[in-house]
Amino acid sequence: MLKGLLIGLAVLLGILMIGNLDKIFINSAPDRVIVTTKKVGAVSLEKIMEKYEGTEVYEERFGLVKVPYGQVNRYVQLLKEDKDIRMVSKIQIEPKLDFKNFVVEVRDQLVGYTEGEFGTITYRNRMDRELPIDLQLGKMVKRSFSYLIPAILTAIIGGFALALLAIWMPKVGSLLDKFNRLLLAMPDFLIIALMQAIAILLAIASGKKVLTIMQFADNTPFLIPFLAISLLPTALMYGAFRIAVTREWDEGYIKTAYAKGVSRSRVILVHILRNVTEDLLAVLPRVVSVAITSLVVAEVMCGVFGLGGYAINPDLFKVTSLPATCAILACFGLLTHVLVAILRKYLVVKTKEVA
Amino acid sequence: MVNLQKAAQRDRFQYKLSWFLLLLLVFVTAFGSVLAPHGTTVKYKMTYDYQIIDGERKMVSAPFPPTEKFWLGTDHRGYDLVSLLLNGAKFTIGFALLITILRFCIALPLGMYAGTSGRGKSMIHTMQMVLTAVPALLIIFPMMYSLYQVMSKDDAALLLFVMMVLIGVFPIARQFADRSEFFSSKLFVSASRSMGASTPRIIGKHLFPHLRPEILFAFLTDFVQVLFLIGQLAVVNIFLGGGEEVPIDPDAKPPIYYLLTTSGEWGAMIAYGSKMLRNYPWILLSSACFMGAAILIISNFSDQLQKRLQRPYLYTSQKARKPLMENNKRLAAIAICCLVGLSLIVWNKYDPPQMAGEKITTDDIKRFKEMKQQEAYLNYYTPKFKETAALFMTNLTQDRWQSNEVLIFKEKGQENAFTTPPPAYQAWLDALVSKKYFFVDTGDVKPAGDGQFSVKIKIKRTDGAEEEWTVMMKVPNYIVDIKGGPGQ
Repeated sequence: MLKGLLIGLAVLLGILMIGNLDKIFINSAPDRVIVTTKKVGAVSLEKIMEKYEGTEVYEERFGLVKVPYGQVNRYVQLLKEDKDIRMVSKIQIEPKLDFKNFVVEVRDQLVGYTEGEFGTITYRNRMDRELPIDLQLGKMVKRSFSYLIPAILTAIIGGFALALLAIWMPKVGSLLDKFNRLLLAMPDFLIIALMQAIAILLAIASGKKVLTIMQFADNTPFLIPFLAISLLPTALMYGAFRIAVTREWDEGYIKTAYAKGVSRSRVILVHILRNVTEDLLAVLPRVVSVAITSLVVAEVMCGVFGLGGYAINPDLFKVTSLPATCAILACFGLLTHVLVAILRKYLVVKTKEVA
Repeated sequence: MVNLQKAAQRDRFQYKLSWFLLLLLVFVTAFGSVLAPHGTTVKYKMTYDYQIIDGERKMVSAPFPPTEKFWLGTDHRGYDLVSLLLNGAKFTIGFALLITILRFCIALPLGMYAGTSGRGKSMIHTMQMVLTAVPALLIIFPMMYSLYQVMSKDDAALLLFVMMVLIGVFPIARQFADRSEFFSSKLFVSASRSMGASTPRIIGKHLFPHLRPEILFAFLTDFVQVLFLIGQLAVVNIFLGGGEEVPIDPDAKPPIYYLLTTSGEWGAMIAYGSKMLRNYPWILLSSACFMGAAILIISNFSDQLQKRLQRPYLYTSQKARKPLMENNKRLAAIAICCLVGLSLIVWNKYDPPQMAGEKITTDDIKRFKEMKQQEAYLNYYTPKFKETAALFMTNLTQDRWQSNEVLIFKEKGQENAFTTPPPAYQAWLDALVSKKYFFVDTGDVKPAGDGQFSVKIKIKRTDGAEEEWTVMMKVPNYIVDIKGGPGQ
């Protein structure tokens, strides 16, 4: 349990750290800025900077001011709003590797997360303004999970139902097996591209919009991302259930149950479903992992402003909140592992022989 | 029995088909650039073409949709997509193969050593759990997104390559550590160990032969996974095949430039195509179909190979096989394959016929560019042109040629060419001075190519009929020619 928890923490911290690897490279001084006052001599720089804790004037003549390490951007924003200051600028230096800057930035980001700051986004049409993602984050989470969770549930139910169908009707089963193999070998981006192309062709043929293929304002596509996310997990689930249900179907206890007059639906729900739970739990983390990947791909291709796709939005110039949003998706994946561990403990029938 | 025979026959056919498809993929990968119907260098670019739009023959710029000339259309630079994708096959398949080989080169010794000796197994186990707890995309995407902002494209591509190798090492190492551990407990390994065999010897001589089929399947499966990952990363704009910056929307603020591959690497093509999906869907569809087809072929081969190894007796031929040197049919087939390959290489030495843009001359392109520029000028210069044309006509009506002379553009050395009106101008002058024709107003201004604009002049005759003459003008504000005239 403790090991699992540590692994989870390591994964989240790892995403946060590798998502900030750019902070190792610096090309401006991380602890100094140049400040130009409005009226030279009217108010001394020393006097102005007294208001700002942690700052120190190095050289009044050049306006050289020391700020806390790694806080340059924050102080530039802060000082710009001072009525006595005309201009604040960073000091350009030779690009170099600075691990201290990386550590400070990651630490600040962690502190920011605890205070509800998850990074910023910058739009192409206002490149000088960094907007906090926090206001949009709730909507993004809601939007992404509104088709991720239904898609995973559909995959589980659909996979089981199709596996049962395949056992009941061998001819359909053989067809489903072939289709399953094909689906597992199809990349998710190809599936989405094909669905979008079909939607475009249908729209051209009918002269009106058939399906929403891209997000426009609040009009978010549902069907294409939903299908794209659910198809591959359904195929995976089907494969796992098919083997498990076939195995259980031939077991003696099923024949015994039939011989004792138990109905088919009861056999399926009470016996088979219970005994294939372990197979479901074994494949569930992989299913969720595939679904998350498909979510990112689907959101990018459908232009959905969700957790996975917003960073590639053509309207955005820069995003600093990507580690946070990726960590949210990773959390969802890790929670599945936790859920699987709990369910395995309570649901799986233990068949270990006793002495 | 008959059904079983038929099923076996079908299995054998599917197995042969999978080999044929795999060899076809290898052939296309190796000779893709030779098979390409068009070149992928600057001289084969077809940036402009003529199309019939609303019944008019107009010049348009790339990208072009699929046509007879370009089966899958072109990109923004005017390169044929089929040619680019065929050329890019060797890069994408090559990258994926290299990544998979490197993964196995690191993972197999690591995993088999850990499995056999028991050392480092927990480390491999932990690393495998960390790296597979979340999708690889969620690890590589934020890292490369941040590094693309500070690193050069080449350094970033190298780092991406290293990451793609490393991220797959531990799951493979874990798989083979478990299998090696299983075989290590067998009696023959214990016997070997008690006879003094070292761990590397046990791995090489005893475990490796047993694990060979599993390694083959794992390799094929991982190869497919790498191709999947290349495609998924491409969708989020992370790819190995770099290229040139091409302006996609230079009028946007700030202008939009995309990195387009010059090699046709499939990942880069998917990255570019997914951004253009709404307007030019053929770019993504064709790239994704090439990638999808490659993945399907390799997956199918893996499945068929697995089936063959499960029931090898179904696939063995009853006929005794002759040695290769005595088998004339086989020798002939090999010779034909070699000849085809050789002729393709020789054929590639010649320039393939340049189907693209053969009817478009440099002058056409110059004219098209000028026309595009003129369209941009139009809003700004239309009032000026109309004003000058109206002044010109008023001067003619009032018989003041001297005032008009300054409005006409003169080439160097022709400064005195318009001191007296040339015949065409004289006809207009006579008609207007005679009061049989009246200048009414100026009409539309349109680009006319060669840097010129046509300004329509509305004329009324004494009998009430209307005529339309044309004054040709150029930037900044000169008359260069007149067209039409009294009674024309």
